[in-house]
Amino acid sequence: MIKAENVNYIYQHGTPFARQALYDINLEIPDDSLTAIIGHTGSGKSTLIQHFNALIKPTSGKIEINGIDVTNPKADLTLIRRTSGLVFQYPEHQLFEETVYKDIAFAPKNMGLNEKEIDERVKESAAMAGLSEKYLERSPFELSGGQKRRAAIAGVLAMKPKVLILDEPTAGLDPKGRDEILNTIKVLHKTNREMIILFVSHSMEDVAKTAEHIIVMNKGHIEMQGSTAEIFTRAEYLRQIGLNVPQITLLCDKLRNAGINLPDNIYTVHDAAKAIAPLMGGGRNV
Amino acid sequence: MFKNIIIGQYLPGTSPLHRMNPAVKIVFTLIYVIVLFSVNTPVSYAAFAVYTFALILISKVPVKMIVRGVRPMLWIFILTAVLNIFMTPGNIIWSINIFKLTVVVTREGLIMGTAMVIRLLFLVIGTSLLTLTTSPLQLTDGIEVLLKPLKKIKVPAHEIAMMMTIAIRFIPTLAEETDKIMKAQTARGADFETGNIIRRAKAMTPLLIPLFVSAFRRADELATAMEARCYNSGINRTKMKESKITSLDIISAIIFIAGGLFLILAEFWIEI
Repeated sequence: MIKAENVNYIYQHGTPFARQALYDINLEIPDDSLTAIIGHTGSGKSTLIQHFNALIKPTSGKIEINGIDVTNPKADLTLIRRTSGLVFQYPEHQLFEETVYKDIAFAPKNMGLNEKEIDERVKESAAMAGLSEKYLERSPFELSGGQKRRAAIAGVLAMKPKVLILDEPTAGLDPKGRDEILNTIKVLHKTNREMIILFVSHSMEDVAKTAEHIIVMNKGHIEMQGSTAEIFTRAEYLRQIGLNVPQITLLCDKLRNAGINLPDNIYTVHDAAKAIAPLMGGGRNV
Repeated sequence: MFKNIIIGQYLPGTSPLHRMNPAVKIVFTLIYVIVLFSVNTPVSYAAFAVYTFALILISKVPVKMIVRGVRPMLWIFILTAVLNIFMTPGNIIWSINIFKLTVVVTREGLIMGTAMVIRLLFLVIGTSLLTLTTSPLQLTDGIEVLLKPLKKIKVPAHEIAMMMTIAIRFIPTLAEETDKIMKAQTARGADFETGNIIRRAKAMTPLLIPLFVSAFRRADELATAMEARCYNSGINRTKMKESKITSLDIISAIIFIAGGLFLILAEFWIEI
């Protein structure tokens, strides 16, 4: 469980350049959940998730991860960082080893595991990240964009974190790469029920397709949190803070206003197809 | 950690010193240093002090910033003073025997030491004033203008200035990148802070390799972008912000040159 209580964060606190990035953040993310944090650039999403790894400490407030108080000055940082694995934006930029295998082995090696355990972890996490074993002996710089990102994600999974946090995991990927990464996240969630997965995104489509739980951030505040359905029923409010519901939801709203009988909980193209096809006399092949 | 990096130490402002032409300012700084090292009477140093202090007042740069610039040089000042005081031969005014060594302080040494420290102090203050009131981009602009005559002997003035501009432009970008990669590797259990020097140097590999890779990638992308916009250094380029010689530059040049000449002539006169 991730818990934040009255968390404030001010960049360059106490200098003339001070800028508050987070205001009174309160949240609780239960175990076994796939949660998305959405918000505009500068809404504080990235700042917030760095707190969950103790890379930055709140100016005031308290954060607990699986019972460890991150804000305690005596907290064991190594333990925290092994508990919550943080995958940064464009994680492929952190690859540095000669082979993908060695790069994934970096974290378990830092943990002081023996050769055999490292080998197991590398293979296991590569598979979890959807990276086929044939890439392990290649140089990370030879891989394609999507594969590099998988290699980098595997590098974090190799720590066997209890919490996996991904910052904009689909940024800069083509539509196919996007879908593949999102799918990998979904599969990870299904096969590792005890792992909390948290990802940051600004794409409503991605969030609708993947997350079960949504936290909406705006200008350093948490605006809303709830299940995917709860959040998207408040389309008007989302629009007010400059976010939008998925395009397919908008389309269904318009169809409904035009008198077509559609349910109001459609967030993915797939769901829309399922609802619309019977109305048109089809529906078997969806 | 790298968020508040200041390149050089430019303090934005609108004082006459800020508004002056950067090329003129660079030339003035050079003359300032030359004159500083050619005078050597207490009266001249006093005149320098008055002149420099006036410049600081005009520039509206807080004295605190100047002091901050001088502080890192303190050890050099002390070393210069000590070496000059003990090593200059001349009239001995004080001596002491330590074991078999005789340490002597001479009158000439004292004078020389004091003079050198004063010169260094003004050197640092004068050049800081240049960098405090001129943005790095203006500085490279000024350097380009000053290097232009050297084009005749095939010195690539424009290319040098362009390279400096690009380098300066990318310092904050690379600093940000360093911060990001450091955090990413820390999240994977890398430790940059503990261990002896060899261990720490080794720990830098996961930071330096991605940093180099990204620097090369950025360079490549920038080159492509520049070429896509038909950048060509060979032709005469025009500038969006042309730095012109204004009446401000002329007036300050007259004051500056008159002051400098007066000082040097006064020195001669005193010596004769």
